[in-house]
Amino acid sequence: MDIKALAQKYQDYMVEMRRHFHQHPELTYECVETCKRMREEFVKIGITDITDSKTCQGFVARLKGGKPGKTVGLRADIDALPVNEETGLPFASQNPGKMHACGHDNHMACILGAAKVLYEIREELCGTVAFIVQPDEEFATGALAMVDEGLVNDCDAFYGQHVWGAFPEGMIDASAGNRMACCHHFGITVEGLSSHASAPHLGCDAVVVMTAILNAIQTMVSRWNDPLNPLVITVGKVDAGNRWNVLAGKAELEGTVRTFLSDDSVEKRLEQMVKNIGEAYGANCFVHDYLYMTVPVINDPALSAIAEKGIADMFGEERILHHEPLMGSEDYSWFGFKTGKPYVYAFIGTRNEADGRVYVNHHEKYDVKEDLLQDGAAVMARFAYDYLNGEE
Amino acid sequence: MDASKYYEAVEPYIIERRRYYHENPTLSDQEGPTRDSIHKDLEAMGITDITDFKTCNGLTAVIHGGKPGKTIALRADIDALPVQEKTGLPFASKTPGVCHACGHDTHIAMLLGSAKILQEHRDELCGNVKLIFQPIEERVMGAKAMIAEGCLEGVDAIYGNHVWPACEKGKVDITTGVRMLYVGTYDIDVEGVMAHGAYPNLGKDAILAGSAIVMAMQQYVSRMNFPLDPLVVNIGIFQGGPRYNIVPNKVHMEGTLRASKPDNHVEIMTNIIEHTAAAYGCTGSLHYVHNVGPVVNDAALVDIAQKAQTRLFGADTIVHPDINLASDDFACYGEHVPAIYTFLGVKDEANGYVHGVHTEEFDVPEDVLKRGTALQVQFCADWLEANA
Repeated sequence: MDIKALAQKYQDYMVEMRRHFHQHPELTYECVETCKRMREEFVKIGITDITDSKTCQGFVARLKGGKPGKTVGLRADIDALPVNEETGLPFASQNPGKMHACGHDNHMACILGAAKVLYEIREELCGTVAFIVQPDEEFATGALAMVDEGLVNDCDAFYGQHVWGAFPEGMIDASAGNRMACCHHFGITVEGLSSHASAPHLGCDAVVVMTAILNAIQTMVSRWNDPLNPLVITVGKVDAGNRWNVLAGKAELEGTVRTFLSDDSVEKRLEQMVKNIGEAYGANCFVHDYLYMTVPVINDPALSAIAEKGIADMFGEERILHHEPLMGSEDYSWFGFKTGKPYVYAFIGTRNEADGRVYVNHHEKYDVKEDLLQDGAAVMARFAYDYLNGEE
Repeated sequence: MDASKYYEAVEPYIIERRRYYHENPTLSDQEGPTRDSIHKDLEAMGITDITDFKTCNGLTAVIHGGKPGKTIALRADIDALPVQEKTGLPFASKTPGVCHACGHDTHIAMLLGSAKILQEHRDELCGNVKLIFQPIEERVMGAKAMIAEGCLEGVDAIYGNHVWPACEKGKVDITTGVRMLYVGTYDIDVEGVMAHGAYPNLGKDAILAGSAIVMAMQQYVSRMNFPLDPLVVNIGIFQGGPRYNIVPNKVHMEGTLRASKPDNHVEIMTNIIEHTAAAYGCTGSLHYVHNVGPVVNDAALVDIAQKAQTRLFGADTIVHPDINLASDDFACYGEHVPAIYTFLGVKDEANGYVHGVHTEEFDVPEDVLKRGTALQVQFCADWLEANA
């Protein structure tokens, strides 16, 4: 089955789709027209078994193969960012202040190309392909919404991919193991006691307590954590006090945890530290709004091997990249984590200095060489085919 | 060369020699008798190109291959530890308070086994094998001393191995990249101004400044270091002040740093220490010593070793555990030539081989040693052939 050649046939179609979506970006929670158009395209391809999400602008389109077998989920995210495009492309965003700066326009084009390829060979397929069209990735709520609705319960494995501005153009990374860190959010409240700044003994200084907490929680990274487990705890926002000559009675902190742990050990330890440091200073301190926004992306070794074999077979070993894990996050991991099914997430490098493509995702000048669309569609379709048919 | 044809036959010799060296351990920098015995063992095999080192109790020997080619080195460390053995073995250490609790007896024996095979079949080798018997590993000084005296002259690549009780018997860790960590040790001194404890305003509190330095150093780990690079900054000793009612003017700290790279730790720590102390009106100073670099395995050597192990014992005997947080002065060789360090699994719970290295009960199942020898021999032969 020459999936690479099949994907090449649909290159023009994918370029057209990519440009259409690039020109008409919609922000997170507003992907009405994008979702509608994606749905129409699947119907046009011939894939009409579509289940719409009731809680977000996403859907799952199912293509049943000619032979029985497992179900593989292929996922593309569809939302854009509040960025004012500065690429100067003829097909730049027509919506001021909105742009597909994360490259989700390419993800949509690739999944449509993969759908065309797989539709063409549907009689050969042993099982079902579930095309997961997911909104609201940028706020990390779309994947969770679709999983919680039960839209992917039938999937036995998942594949997703991302164009990546930091990796060399054309290189594809589907490495096994840790790939992206989790993203947790937390708030910390420090309740001290306000007093006149000239009489600190009458109050309990929330600024001092807050600072002690900030220092102490960094020792979770340096002294409590296993040195081989990457862990970042960043408090990005603090707000304490009202006036320069008043002792601050209250402080609010907000931060994030990035690591490759999937348990609640960081939350438990943070709660213990915050509570006790507070008591040491006579303040009431507690953690709140500890949110598991994403779990880490950890690729299943067996699925990575399937993906890498397909990539090597179609494009040669020299196109395979094994980059170190990223501390950034992705909500894609919810599909596998919540269903307990294995998954793999691949990165397709887009950086090319000679062509001036030096900007990373989320940048106002981020752009992708369109020749890569056929490769992306081929890798995706090939994975689905190899996963379903390899176990005959 | 096909090592599988030869390694079974040398097993009795390897075990006999292992027991001899286990029974007769010598401490770091006192390895004279061990070195002399190894010298005799090599001579008995017919090896003549042997060099006793002058600045330490090290020894090298060259086995000259029958065909032209490069030179590969095999290294074994030979020193024992100041530990009272409690294994109950019939061949336990005869020297009270000294034993081979780190398995260097097995390293010597495996390398002697390899020497026997390589010497006997030297006609098949495309180049030379240099055997390096290295002292003072436990104080990470031996490799430096031997390199300074020229042990790497003419050497193109080096192989070393360690028996490892965290790894299952039958498995070998053969992995590319950083395998053991860099180590630095340091003293930090903080100087303030002494005063009566009731009048802190008249002094500069060195303990408080020292505490601030400890906290600031934690943020080197948590905020300044790349999260994917392991880094441990440990302050194990903090001593300050002469008396409870005196504002202390001196603090002395000692610690160690572990990292995957030597990097610019000194620069960063100096900056933190000097400025934090200054913020408290004190002066802070760092005295830092680089002990040993990270053990970093060369990808090309790993590839050859993995293929050798696969051929001998199957691909499922190769494992890739996490980076070992310990250190080894084998790292010094890797700063000069491509190097590979493998870990030979010796954990066997069913038979009681569960004790860690550097413990009084550490012992290894002797039937794995021939496999360590087989890998050394096969690796040497394959590397020489590939690079001839």
